[in-house]
Amino acid sequence: MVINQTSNTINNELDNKKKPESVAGIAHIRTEDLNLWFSDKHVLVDVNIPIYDKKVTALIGPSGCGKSTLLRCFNRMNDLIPEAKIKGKVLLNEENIYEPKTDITRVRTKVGMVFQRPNPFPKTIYNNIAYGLRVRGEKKKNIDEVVENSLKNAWLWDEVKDRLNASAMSLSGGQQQRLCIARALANDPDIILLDEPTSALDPQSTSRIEELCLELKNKVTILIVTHNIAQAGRISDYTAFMYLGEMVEFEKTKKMFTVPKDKRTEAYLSGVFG
Amino acid sequence: MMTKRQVHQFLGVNILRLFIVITAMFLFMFLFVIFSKGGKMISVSFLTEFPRKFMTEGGIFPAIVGTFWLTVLSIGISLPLGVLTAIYLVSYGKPRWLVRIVRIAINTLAGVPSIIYGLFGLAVFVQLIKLDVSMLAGSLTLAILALPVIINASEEALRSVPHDFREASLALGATERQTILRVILPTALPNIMTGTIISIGRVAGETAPILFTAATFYTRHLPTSVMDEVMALPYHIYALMTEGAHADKQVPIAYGTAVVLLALVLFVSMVAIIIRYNIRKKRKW
Repeated sequence: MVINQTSNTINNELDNKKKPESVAGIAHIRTEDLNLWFSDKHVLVDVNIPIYDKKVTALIGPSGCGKSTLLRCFNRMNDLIPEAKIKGKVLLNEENIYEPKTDITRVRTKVGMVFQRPNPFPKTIYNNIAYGLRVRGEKKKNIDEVVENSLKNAWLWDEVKDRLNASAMSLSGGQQQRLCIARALANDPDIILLDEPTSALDPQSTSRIEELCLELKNKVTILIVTHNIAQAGRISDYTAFMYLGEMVEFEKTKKMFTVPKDKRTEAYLSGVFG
Repeated sequence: MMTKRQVHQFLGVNILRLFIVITAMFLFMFLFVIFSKGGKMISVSFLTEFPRKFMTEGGIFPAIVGTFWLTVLSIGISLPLGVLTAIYLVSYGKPRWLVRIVRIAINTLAGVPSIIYGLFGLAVFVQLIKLDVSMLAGSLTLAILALPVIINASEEALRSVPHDFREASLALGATERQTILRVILPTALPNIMTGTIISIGRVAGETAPILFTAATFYTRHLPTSVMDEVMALPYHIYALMTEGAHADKQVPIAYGTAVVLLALVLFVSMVAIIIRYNIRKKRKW
């Protein structure tokens, strides 16, 4: 077995002395020696990361370091890319989601996702939220309630309650992104993956989404990819720094931002490269 | 005083204008000639009566009915077939060699002269499958003719659906099939309609494919089943201009028929455009 020096160090630290103080509850989802190739390109190298329950974990790193690719491993969105080859495990509640017998649609219901660009369907606001329930054949009378609760949880209800039948495309960018969050929440997920959710939004919408994340972590586990270091500092409990496909450092955000262990983490956080 | 560059700009724009005017002129001349020669023939009786006295008097009602049914049937056959083929090409597209063969077949079909479709229809539908000269045989032939246009338009429409929608749907736990049916197809529908509209015009106006498969010079009856042979507007024009002994009386009827055919195609297109407009109004992104 090829052991990568850097990630091995981190593992040992996580396994041994770090666990007692940094583990807050169980790891909802974690990876075990996850490797991913796009054709011949080795994009993820022996990644081990725990995503703790009801916490916000931020994935940071320079462009092309594999953070979005890692995020897409957690709900098997990389399956859409035929060249992608995966080795290792992703354990969702201790079940490997890459087992051949896994029901992918169930995984994706448990692990919701919000994308970089707001992508509501060209349907009404109501039908956007109801989509996840309808594809699972949920009864009609339950849907109304879920739609209302999801919109409330995404802080969108008051803005749209009088026009649930208006097209979702008529909303502003920030509202559309909160709609996408509500749509993911409607599936009652354990975890929500956010892939640079504010990079297409203005500052006000951005801070609203950030506040929302802090509120939502009481209900769901959040994993957010961001290229905005300040954002990671503001909202996350844990931060993972990735570089060239490796998990360089995983640490409590406060600790990493004050005393980074790795030289590369320090260089990135201080803006030497990015 | 204009500078040299301004002169060039002025000349450039006006040369383009001239070409636009020439193009538009052809269209207006075309409409003017057809309508001035055939417009006076149009009357209620022309539209609702059967031809009389060896095509020299009376109306063209059975030809209108025939063309209407041929168009509806052929689009009814080729639209589902074409859309399903396009979905396969776009969404699954495997194995590669099969897709390549299908694509070559589609593009070849698109380039085949329409008279050859007529011969093919005669050989296969009329003789081999023994449908005889019938509306069904003609519609099947026309359907194959319309297929490439519908497939290409549908494929284009499906490909233009933003990839984001597909990802959003799959990420919410929908299956591939649900994603296609509930998100991709509805989003692509307006553009699929555009392709269909073009096909309607083409199918309604074609003479050669129905020449040996469906059309008849004259019939006393309206079609009662798909196994009947029918009169059709384009073939009626052809027949009036090439057969019979009373050119002086037949030619005006031919032009009148041309006006009706134009109006019919225009009408069907308008309906489709209105439907498409309403779908588009509801779905904005």
